[in-house]
Amino acid sequence: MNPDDKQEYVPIADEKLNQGEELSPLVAELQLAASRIQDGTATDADRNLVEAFNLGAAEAAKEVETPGVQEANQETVESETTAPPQQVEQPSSAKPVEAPINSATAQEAEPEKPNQPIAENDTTDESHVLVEDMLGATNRQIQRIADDIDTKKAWGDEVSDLETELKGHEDMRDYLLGRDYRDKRDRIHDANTGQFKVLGDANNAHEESSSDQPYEDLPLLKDGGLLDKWADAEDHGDKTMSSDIQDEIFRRIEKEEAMDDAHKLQLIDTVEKEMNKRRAHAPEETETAPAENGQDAEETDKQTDGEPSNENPEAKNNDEQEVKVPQAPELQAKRRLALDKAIEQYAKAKLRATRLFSGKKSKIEFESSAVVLKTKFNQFVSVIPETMAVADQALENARNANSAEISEIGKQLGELNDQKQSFGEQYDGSLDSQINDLQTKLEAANETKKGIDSEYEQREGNRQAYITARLMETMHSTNQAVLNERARSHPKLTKFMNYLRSHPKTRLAVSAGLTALGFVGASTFDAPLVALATVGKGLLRGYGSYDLVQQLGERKAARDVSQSELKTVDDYLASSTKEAATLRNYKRGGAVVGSILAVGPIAWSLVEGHSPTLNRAAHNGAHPQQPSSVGDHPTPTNSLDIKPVDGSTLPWDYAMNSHLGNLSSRLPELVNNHYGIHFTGNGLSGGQGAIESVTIPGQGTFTDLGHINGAIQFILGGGK
Amino acid sequence: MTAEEIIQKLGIDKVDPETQKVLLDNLANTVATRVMAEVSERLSDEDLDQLDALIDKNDEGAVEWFVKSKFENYDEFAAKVEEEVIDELATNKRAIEEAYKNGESPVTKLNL
Repeated sequence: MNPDDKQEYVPIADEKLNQGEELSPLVAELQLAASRIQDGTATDADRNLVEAFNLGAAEAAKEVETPGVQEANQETVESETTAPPQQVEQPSSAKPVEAPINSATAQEAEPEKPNQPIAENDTTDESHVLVEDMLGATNRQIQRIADDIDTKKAWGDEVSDLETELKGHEDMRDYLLGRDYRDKRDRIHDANTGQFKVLGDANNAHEESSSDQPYEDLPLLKDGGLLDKWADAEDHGDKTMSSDIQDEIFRRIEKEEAMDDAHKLQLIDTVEKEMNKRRAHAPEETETAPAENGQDAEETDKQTDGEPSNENPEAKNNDEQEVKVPQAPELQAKRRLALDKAIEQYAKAKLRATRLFSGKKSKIEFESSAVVLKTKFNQFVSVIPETMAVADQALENARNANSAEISEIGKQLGELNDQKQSFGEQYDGSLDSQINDLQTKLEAANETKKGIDSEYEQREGNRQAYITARLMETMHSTNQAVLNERARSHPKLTKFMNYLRSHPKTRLAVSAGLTALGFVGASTFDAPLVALATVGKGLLRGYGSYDLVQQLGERKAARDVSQSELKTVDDYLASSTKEAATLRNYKRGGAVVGSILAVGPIAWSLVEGHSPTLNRAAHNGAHPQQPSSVGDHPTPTNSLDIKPVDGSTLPWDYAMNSHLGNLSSRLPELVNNHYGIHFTGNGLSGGQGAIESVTIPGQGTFTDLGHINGAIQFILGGGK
Repeated sequence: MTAEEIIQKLGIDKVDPETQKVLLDNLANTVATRVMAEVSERLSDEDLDQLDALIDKNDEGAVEWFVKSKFENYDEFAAKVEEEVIDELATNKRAIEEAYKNGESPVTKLNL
């Protein structure tokens, strides 16, 4: 064997590699063997392998030069396989080693298995020469290496290298023995029986076991098809396989020219649902974490679809469970994140696909990314109505609670004033502080009423603004992503954009009509859209409870991410602020986030359907408790039964000693408690402890550890 | 299209004037970014080299002319992009409003 012979087939293998095709293990082995021959490190096994290959090549070339053989077998070949004709019509000028690769064809010289019964109509002596020599060479090497190992062992020499080499040849032998094989006229034989197989059945066993059957060849719905494999991939958490299969499905759907985008999106949803049905394990909603009250995203999806939710009757009777944490805003925030990711992938794929020498694969990736983006956009948009419904309900709840609160305070004031009057000149002023306190609360409640009334008045306008803003944000971020991706690969484009920023005349000239009308926006292409919440008036400060509820959803979504890293109340608030601001590409200004945080307690009460200044009984629809005796110091209806405990122990230690767990990990429960209890803190620095004070509705603000610990016990103990 | 026409088309007529102004500013920014994205697709590496040279000369008129020369009718192109953006917004907004009223899933479109 002349080492130069490897030049005959190496280019073919290289070409396949360049085309992104995977080489079969056999060809890969040949490639390696040839390389070793070239660099002088070849073993006998390498040389035998290449020699055997060339022998087969010569035989194959001889056969195609024999028309009689070809004609005699032509009919049989065509009836039994659909092998491409060029594989039979190998030109006589075919050089050794090229011929067997090409004649073995699509399977890259699938070896024939020796020692199998030869089919009756397989009359050529040459038909198994190639594969027999392949396996023969391999077996010979196995035997030689095994002998060498025995000899070296007998002399006490190191044999690990030889054992590694042996293992490689044994793997090769197993591979050769374990596959269906194709003779050089492309007839396919069963690995076990040697009988012909119809095309399509060939190699199934191997391909199923190794999952290397191309996805484009698989049916969608049939057993063993794409949906089954997708479901299997999901069950096994194989993200790569799942992604590849989804790409193939999206590609097929995208190719359906008879369908419009809406129908394609519906079809994608249908396909995904069908896949979930086929999963061995119940699918989990990946876009959202399980809710605190057990209502998961799937349920929210059902509600979005107009299906009734399954209320837990036990939860209904449980006061704690009845505080419903809305899912839609959080789901919207998470879907927005998913949409942002799809936008980013789309922008990258678009750039790759529009490059001068982009290949078919890039174009398919681009088409798939467009379908994914449309799907994610639709999923995001589909939660917007639900989010608005949550905000509507929250506002309605707030109005009812506010109305009840005003009524109750008025009633108490009336009773106190009646009592005061009844004392006449004997009145000693003992009720004044209570009356003043209630009047202060009444003023605050009336202010709340103004804000709520204002929100109702602006409802339609706020709804219009909210939807438009949401849509515009997605559109803008998509354009930004495309532009930024392009600018990243074209620095001079960045220079051009920078030039436009500093040259308004040119910018105006190349802009659209809106700019000419005086609407200029930031006009810096990569700037965020101006947040609408910076305008507007009233208690809700922004453009209404829609935006507020959305912001809260974002905070709730963001909170899931960093809970474990939080150390103090301030850390939590700072983190929450930061994440709310950075959750999306279009960041809102610090002032806006500040305003949202400022109304946070009110917003939570809106969402949860009760006022922080009302007791839970009022929230639950029961009549507020009356003072037991007007002559007593009436306990405000909004007071909580919190008593100071363990005033000598720092909160963190108290929580641990009281088996309430690690306070760090439970801070979010404290900060967002449903009782209107408010903590402040300065972190752990200065040795003051993380929590400096607690404000308890109806009782006031306390800085002593007893009240702080009492409030912690109350919240984390479930209101006890 | 006038501002009033755009407001009507987008269906933001009930929005307070201050917020309308912010929305239209944002719309201008959105349109400008899409226009620029499409302009960038028209500019080849050689175009960008030439543009780079014009920018270095700080010749505003030449920069404007060069960019516009890449389009058969630049103003028409920019107006078309603006119209497409507004149409897309209006269509999707209507779909969401319908879904909100009827409790159905909105069917939206996304021009890519």
